[in-house]
Amino acid sequence: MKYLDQIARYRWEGLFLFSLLFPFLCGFDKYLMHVAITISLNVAMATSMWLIWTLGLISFAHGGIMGIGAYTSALLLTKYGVPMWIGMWVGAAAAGLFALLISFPLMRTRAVYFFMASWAIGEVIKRNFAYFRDFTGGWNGVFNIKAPVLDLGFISLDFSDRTAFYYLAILVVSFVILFIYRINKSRTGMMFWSIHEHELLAQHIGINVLKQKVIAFTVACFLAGLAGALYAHYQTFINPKSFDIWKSEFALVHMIVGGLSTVGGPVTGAILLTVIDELLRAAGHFRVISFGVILIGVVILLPGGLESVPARIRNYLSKDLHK
Amino acid sequence: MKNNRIIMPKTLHRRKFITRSSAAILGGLAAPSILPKYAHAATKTIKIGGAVPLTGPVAYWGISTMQGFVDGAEVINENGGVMVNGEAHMLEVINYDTKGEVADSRAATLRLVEQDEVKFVYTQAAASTVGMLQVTEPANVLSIAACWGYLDLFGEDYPLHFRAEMSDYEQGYAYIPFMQEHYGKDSLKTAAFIGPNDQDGFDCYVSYQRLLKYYGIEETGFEYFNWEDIDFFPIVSKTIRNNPDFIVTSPSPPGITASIIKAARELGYKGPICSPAASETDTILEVAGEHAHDVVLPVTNVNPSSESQIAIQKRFIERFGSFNALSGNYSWWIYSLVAAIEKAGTAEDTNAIAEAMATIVLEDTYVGRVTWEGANAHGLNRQGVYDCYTTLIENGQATLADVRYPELPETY
Amino acid sequence: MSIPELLQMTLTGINLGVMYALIAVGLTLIFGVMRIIQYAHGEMYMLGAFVLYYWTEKFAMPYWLGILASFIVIFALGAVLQIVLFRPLQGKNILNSLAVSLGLVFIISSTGQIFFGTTVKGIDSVVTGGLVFGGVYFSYERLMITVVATIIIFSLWVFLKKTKMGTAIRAVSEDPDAAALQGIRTQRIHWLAFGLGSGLAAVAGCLMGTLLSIVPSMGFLATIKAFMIVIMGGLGSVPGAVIGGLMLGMIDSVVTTTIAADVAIIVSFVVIFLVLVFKPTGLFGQKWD
Repeated sequence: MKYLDQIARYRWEGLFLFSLLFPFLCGFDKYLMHVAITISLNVAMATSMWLIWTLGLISFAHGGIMGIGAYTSALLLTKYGVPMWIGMWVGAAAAGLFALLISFPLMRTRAVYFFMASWAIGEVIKRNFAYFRDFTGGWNGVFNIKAPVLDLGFISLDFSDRTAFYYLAILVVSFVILFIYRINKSRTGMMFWSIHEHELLAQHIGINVLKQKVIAFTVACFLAGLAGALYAHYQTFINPKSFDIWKSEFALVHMIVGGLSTVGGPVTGAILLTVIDELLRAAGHFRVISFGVILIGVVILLPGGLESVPARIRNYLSKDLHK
Repeated sequence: MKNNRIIMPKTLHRRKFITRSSAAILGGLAAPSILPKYAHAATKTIKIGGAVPLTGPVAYWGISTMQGFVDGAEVINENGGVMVNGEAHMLEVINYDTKGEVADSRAATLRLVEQDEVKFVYTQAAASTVGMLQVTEPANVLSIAACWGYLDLFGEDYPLHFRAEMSDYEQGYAYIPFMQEHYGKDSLKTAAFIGPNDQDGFDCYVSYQRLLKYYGIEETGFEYFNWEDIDFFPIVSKTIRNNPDFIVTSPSPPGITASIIKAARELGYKGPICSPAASETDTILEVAGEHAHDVVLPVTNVNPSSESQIAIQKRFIERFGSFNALSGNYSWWIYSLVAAIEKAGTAEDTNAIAEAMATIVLEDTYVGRVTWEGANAHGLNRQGVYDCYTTLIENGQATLADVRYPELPETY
Repeated sequence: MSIPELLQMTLTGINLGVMYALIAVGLTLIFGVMRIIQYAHGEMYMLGAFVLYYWTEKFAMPYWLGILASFIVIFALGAVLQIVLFRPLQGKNILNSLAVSLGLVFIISSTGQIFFGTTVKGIDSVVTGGLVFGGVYFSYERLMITVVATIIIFSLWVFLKKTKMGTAIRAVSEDPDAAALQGIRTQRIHWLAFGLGSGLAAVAGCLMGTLLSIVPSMGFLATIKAFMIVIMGGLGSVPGAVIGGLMLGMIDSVVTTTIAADVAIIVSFVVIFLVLVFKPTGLFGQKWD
């Protein structure tokens, strides 16, 4: 076990190092850094959805929750001049608070009903953004959500510069991944997994199931809101359509294709599928079809997702050795 | 993890089948997009990028727009290309799918501008336009779009942005005079509006209000429908209750237009119904059937009349397998751009090209005479205005009823 | 509002409700028997409509025969999909079925757009016209659809309650192990139920195809409505689907007519959420674990 943990650590460190060096490796290519930033945001969404999954729940409200974070931060900047450094945390907090409030009624539902209820929540959020036209700009959206300029006295960093924002995104995403990883490894994480395995039994051991569910949901939505705020300041324009069911669907697909047993799964899935999405951009309908084929293929042929591939290879090799 | 080696033998056949077929499918589908694009060697090329919705809800418009450019590029290349300072340049059109989403449009445009280094980008529909503009203006790239919404976006802050398609506002200056002549001014005193519940819908409502004010027509009400709506009876019956003399529905795609017409006629409404965005007749005739009567469709030319129009139709059928009037409406964009490049004498200086394009006048296109107008509002003539071919459907028959250049007011 | 307007609104609501219910009963059957999420249910609806389109428009065959043909074709498709794609997922978490059916949505709707084209099409109506009675318009076509849909739903209910096969289906949906012990071939019931559910969606697509226009991307709209109804009415409950459908139809009609269409859809979602809060398994649903 420890040996495997070591390998995982090396992989994580390798990935982190790679992402720090990435701009240099690609020659500061702006388009490639854009793809990398998109990957980071997708990773944040997929991993936060995964956190909810560790309890056995699938939440389709994720797109809407991301929207709460995005709109809060965006409106704070455009209407009240609040800088992103504060705005993004307020946005995340707003998303988390909303999640906290809504989870009490929401957690009464189970399995598929939970799925539908969370879907309903996501839809209502999105439509509310559109409905309150005067405040949120309606379907028009919010414009000019500028990235901030950080003035440190001796150096001034303008985050609308692609490279600067790239590092910011990497920083935030690393924080998100680390946070989720630590929760998962901690006692709380183990409680989540035991609820996943058998809710009734967990309850009987003395775990306060409702409390754990609320905690997980709130934290995950907080992180999704953070991703949303970052998204808003990067795109400089948001509208309600950006936060519809597709965001949740993609997070789900990334999560499933990548693998569900560790936080590395959604990370892998998000990276790979975002890259495939960009590569196939010229392909029109075939791109969507490919996604469908990959998704079905992974579920039926590769049940652990991509992260189970190293283990399978190891098994296969060790089988050979034993012959 | 469950030990599934025991189950393996039985499911092996199915798995193998699925593996093989999915590998084949994936390989076959991915190949065309990953394989290198054909590039013209040695000769100079002018690249035109398309950030168009090829999938998603507005795929129909996006694909039509793309067809116009692909066909135009081939025709121009066959005729020797674009002459810039005596040198022939070949056109290359690169298209990326935006799925009709703002963020994807931005990504597609980033790729076009930063990776493929195009200087001209075209797009379709409001969402893709917004995403594209975020990238093209700061990068000094000229853009051509069909965007009816976001009226305030199209202003002096975006000097390189051209709105090629006439929105319902410009069309109104052609179809309202036509309707007044055809039905009599006195029988068109009030109107009602039905539009989608999104930015395009709201902006079209604003345009419609401006038109009504200009022509002295009163409003009886407006309704917005959701794209998810399956049935239009509730909205239409609510609209009809106020007895408008005619109904404008914009921008409604052909299917929804047809449903609205059918519902209205069934509920006993007799007045004319106008749909500026439909631009085709087949669906409306098919779906509304016998209810298709007194339907006014501006900018819809389903029976090409002039030689060049017929040629366009023929070429499109050969090249793409089918032709719809909508792609004909977009086919002139590339010619205007090329004419501007040749007039300005440069393929790089987009500011000069923009200034030149504003003066380009095309004759005998699929939409007749095309000019760029709008200097009063935008500082430069950047709104495409062209002959409005209005088709009228009466008793299930579609006929071209009117061709006129919009009677724009002086303040335009 | 005047009485005729009120009546028109109610009539439209009932009509909409029955149509929605027809889409939903197939889904609730699939849910109840197999405990899987069939996200691609709307795609069956879309394919059913297109089968009818090709049947009547391209091959010029009679309409009613076309509906039967559509049912058979999509039934077969559903059965095949169940055997090939969903059977291996048995016993696994529902996330897997959600994923596979989501993949199917991507594949089917995109392939549909490639083969059928992105333009909207229409199917000729079988009956047209209507009569005005007491200020209210009764469309023959809508009446016919309402009646046919009601007959189909009723027949389904009778089938489930009275016939041997129907009882077997109900048995499997209540307790698969006990049913197997009774000698019921659960594997067979699974693909039968899936085929039946998909076939019903296809029929709904055919009926509505004449009323509205059809386009390859219409599947998802039907899926949304079907899910909303089934969850509200309770998984596996046919009466629940009917009541849920009627409720949704009435909300759509009433709220659109009195307030606005964009509010109607918000209200629908809020109502569903509230129902789930007070009855976490839907109005008539069974408990899931």
